[in-house]
Amino acid sequence: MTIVPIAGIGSVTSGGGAATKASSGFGDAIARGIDNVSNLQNSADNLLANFAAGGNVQIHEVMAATSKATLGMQVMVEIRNKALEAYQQIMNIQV
Amino acid sequence: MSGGPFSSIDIASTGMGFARYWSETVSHNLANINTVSTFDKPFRARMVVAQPIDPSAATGGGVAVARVTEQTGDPAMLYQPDSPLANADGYVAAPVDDLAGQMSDLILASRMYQANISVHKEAREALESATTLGR
Repeated sequence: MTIVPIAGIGSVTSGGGAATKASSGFGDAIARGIDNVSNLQNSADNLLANFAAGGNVQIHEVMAATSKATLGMQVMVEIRNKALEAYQQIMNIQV
Repeated sequence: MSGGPFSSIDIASTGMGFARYWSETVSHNLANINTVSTFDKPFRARMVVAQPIDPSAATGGGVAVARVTEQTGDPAMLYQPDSPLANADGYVAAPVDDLAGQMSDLILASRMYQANISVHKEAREALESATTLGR
C-alpha cells in the first residue's frame, strides 16, 4: 500500500496582500496565514449576503464556505495560542 | 478544485449541487405527470447526465451536470375527443414519464444529498480534530 504524501504548506494559495513579499520568516508565514483566513471569511460573507438577497447561490455553498472560514479561524487561534505560549516561556527564563 | 486542505468539503459540495439539480428535474417530471399534448410534441421526462470533474487528478474533483436528456419512447395514446389537443381520431399524447421511476429517482437524489452532507460533516470534524493536535 502506498501512502500519499501530504501536501506541504506551500500548496495553500496565499492571499493578495502578503503574496508580493518575500516568503521567508515566521512573521511572513503568519501574515500569509491571516490573509488566507481573512479571504475565507470574506468569501463566506459574500456568499451569505448573496444568498440572503436571493442571488444565485445555493445553501450548501454558503455552508461549505462558512465551514472553511470556521476551520481557518480555529487553526489561526491555535497557532496564536502556541506563539503566545512560546513567548511566555521565553519571558519566564531566569536571568 | 482538488488538492488543498478543504478539497473534501469542495467535492461534497459538488455532489450536493448535483443532487439538488437532479431533484429539481424530478420535481419538473412529477409536476408534469399528467401533462397531455399533441403527438408532434409530447411531454418527455428530463434526465440529468452526471459527469466527473477532473477525473485525471489523483483524488478527482467531484461531479457536474454534463447535460440534460429527454426520455425516449413513444407516448401512450389517450382518447380525449373533447380536448383541443386531440388529433383527427380524438387522441392526445400521454406524457413520456414514469411515476414510479421518478419517485425512485426522488429518493435517490435525496439520499445522495444526505450522503454528501455526511461527507462534509466528517471532513469538517476531522479537520477540527486536527486543530487540537498541538494541545
